[in-house]
Amino acid sequence: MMNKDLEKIIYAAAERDVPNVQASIMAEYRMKKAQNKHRFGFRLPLRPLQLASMMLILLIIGFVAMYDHPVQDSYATVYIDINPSLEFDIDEEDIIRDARLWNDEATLLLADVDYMDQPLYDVLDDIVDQAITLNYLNENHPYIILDIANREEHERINTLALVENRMKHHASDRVPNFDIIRGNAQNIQPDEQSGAHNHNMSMQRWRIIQSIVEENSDLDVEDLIDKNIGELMKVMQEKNMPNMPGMRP
Amino acid sequence: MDNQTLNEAVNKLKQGDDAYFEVIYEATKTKVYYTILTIVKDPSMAEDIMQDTYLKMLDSIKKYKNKNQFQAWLTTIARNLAINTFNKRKKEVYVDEDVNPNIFGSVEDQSEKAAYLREIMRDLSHEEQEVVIRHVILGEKHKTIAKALNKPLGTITWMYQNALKKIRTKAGDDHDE
Repeated sequence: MMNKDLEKIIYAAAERDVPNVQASIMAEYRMKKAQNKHRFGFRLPLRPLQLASMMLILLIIGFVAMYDHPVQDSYATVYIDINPSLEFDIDEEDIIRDARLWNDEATLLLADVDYMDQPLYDVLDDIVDQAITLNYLNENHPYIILDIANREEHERINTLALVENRMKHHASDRVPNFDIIRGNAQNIQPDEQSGAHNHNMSMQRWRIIQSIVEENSDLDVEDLIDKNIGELMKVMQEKNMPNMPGMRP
Repeated sequence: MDNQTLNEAVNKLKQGDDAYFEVIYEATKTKVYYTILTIVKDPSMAEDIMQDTYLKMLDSIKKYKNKNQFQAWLTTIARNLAINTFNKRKKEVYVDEDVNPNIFGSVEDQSEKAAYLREIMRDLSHEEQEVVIRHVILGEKHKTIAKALNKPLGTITWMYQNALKKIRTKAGDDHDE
């Protein structure tokens, strides 16, 4: 019997042994969907006047919340890009209060990380672990772009130093050449922000791509969009671009 | 199933047509299950994680946009869940990593699980079983397996050939009987 025939027999046996859980998955999924629908998709058996009053109350609540809720403004934003691109809003105690995941990779990276209302430093440890597990971080791709915006400069520097030390310490045994590239997130312009978000990536990565494209007419955004940080740095070296644009050492 | 048919099914599922889940499940189940099994080495646990993997896929399918990489994406979710579950279990129960457990779990409580494959691979060592599963079912190259199992490439190639030889001999014996 040839190896190929044996492999076919092995594969067929393996296929027969796969448990048939398709029906239970679908049943559970439909139940979850129905529960969500029940929770959010309620019907309103209301008369027009009741509906109008309800709308008015909601509008008032909305205005009050908007003008009487300065907490949001005091949140700092942490930008992280390892190819998964994500942002955390953190409060004064460095507790994560909100998150924006800009691509599928970020969703995957955080799929099993409990991050909401957790200390930033603990979550960063988990992120490093997951990034190594999923092979976004390794000796060939040892970089993370990181920066913090919307915080007093001296506090920002202190927090960055703490974060860097912690992450380096946590990653160094598995990725010895692990390094953090600091961004320049304080000077973000609205058009940069929308450009980054339209392309599902962090601000810092978008800035690098924009700078490369601006200085090299033979390249456009689509050529660079799937490259990781290490590959983008390589392109910059090949194109004799001396520094990471908008970056600080 | 070819990649194009799978991609079409994925697109239909993304658009909300749940009927295509069956197509996707059939096309991907084997790799998903054995990816998990090689990590947790417990068929019952692998079955639970397999369910979680597909539920997670269904929850996040709308965000999936990498064309032609669906199986890889799904396998990554499976691997991720399996590693996390395995690590959690390690924290809860002492697991001696020096003892290399059978990939099919302990014989006593798993007698009905993975019966066909276990029968074929009955005469193989645990490591040979893992090499065969990784190569034949998961499609991993010997080089990748060598790295994952931290063994020289030559050892893996030899183990694989040796495993096939044992399976071939056993198949011949069974045929003679």
